[in-house]
Amino acid sequence: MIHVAVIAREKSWFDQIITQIPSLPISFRWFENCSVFFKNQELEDWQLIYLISDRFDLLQEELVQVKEQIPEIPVLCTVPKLRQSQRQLLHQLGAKEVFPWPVTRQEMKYFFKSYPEFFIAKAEEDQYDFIGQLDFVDGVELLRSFCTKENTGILTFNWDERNGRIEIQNGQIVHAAYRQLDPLTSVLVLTSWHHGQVSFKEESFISKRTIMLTNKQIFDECLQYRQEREHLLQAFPPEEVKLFTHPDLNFEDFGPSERSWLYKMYKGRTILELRDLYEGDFNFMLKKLKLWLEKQYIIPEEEYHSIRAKKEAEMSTSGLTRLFRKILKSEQKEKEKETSKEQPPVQKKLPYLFASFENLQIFKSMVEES
Amino acid sequence: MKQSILEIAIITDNRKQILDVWPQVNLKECSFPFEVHYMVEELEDQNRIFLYLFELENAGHLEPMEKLIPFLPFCLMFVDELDESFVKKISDYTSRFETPLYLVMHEDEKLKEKISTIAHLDFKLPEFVILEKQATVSRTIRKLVKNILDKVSLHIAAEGKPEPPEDS
Repeated sequence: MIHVAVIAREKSWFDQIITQIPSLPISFRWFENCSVFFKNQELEDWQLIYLISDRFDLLQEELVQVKEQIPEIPVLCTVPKLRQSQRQLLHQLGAKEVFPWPVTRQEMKYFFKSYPEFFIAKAEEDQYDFIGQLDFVDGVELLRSFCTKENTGILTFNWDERNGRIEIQNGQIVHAAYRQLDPLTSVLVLTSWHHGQVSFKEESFISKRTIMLTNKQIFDECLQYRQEREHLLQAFPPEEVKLFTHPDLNFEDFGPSERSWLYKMYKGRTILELRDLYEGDFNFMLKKLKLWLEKQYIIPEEEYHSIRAKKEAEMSTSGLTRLFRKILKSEQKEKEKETSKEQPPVQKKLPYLFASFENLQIFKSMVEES
Repeated sequence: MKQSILEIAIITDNRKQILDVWPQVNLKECSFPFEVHYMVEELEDQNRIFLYLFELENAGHLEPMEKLIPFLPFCLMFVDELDESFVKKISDYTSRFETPLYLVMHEDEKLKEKISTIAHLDFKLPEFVILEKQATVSRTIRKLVKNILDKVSLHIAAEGKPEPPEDS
């Protein structure tokens, strides 16, 4: 196992880095600043130090400190908006490699691949206290089983290129990171996975608490999240039915990310396939899909085939009949419009009956005083 | 000593939204006369602010909403994502109630962008308020209520009090 110390002032920067890195036999640890790192230097046999900062001058200071204390360990640096001269200066001060922020997954992958020893690491299974597959275990139940015991450590979730982690301190869930989601949503998403590998490693060096809810509240949230998903799924056809984009849909009406999802459904996808394709919060995606289904941007397989068949039949008829049909249709539509104009939907609007505005002034002064 | 209650409704379809803003909030639940979730902010001399949580699409909330919202000074709605469902929610609200709706925005880098987008949507809405996070839940609520009451009193100063409808 390769040990990397990440020194970053903000915990979120560390989370962003580690959730991007592909699953490798590397253990990352976060330190808030150099002095914390030097105090805990004996913790592991460090092979690499990674410095992240948002200011160049601070990074430079940290690099000098680290190189003075432990010159033999290679140092990586990351800082936003790097100029060529600054990059050169960092290299002169002894930085092994310099990445501008934000670091992409590809860059990280190439860098770690340039260290062959990272891949020759010994069998990693021995290093974990627990390792299992999510295909057979329910994520929430698994998490619950780790929380009841007096456990302190990190539960890591890997599913292909996706990586997430949940940190537990004395049985209490304190922090989670997955992509750039907030900690609580990360827990909800990670525990809803149906594939991938989970591993637990005891760790005494846990980050600060970012999830303020108690375990019970978190599990209630998980339950609610699951119920919400079940509720949303009821709006869709059965699992095995493929959903297709409507043949007449104009893809140019959509933004790039929506268009790419609609395009993925061009040849039909079941809801389970979509679930496995979507990396973020799938409930959010389901809401969008539900809306699309209501607006007929996407349609179930049967309907799709009938529309396609109709279209093909229409294309094979003569041009003149097509023209007549078109004229008749437009006449019909106009008629429909006229009838709908005659009967506008009557919706009763409830009036504004609040009257005691003097009271509001009293409350205003009360809130101001406090 | 006369005590009074200020009642406000928060329109949301996602309870998580509230927990995101106030992680330690104490949500209470009552089942009579209606099933409603609410928060209470205690002020001095036993005066209180009640914040009801209503979901527009929840059929169970329909009755309490129709009974309560017309008599409230204003309602709140948090703005997260400006997507179609958000637009639908606002038009749904404005088509059902005349009670003013204040949009509460988080102070983030997208704030300006959000304000200009909503301005283009052309709903006849009152102004926006910006959520200023304070040290405690209670202070954040007070600050938010104060900001809105400031706007309400400005509005009254400019246009006078809205007249109560004749047929009651």
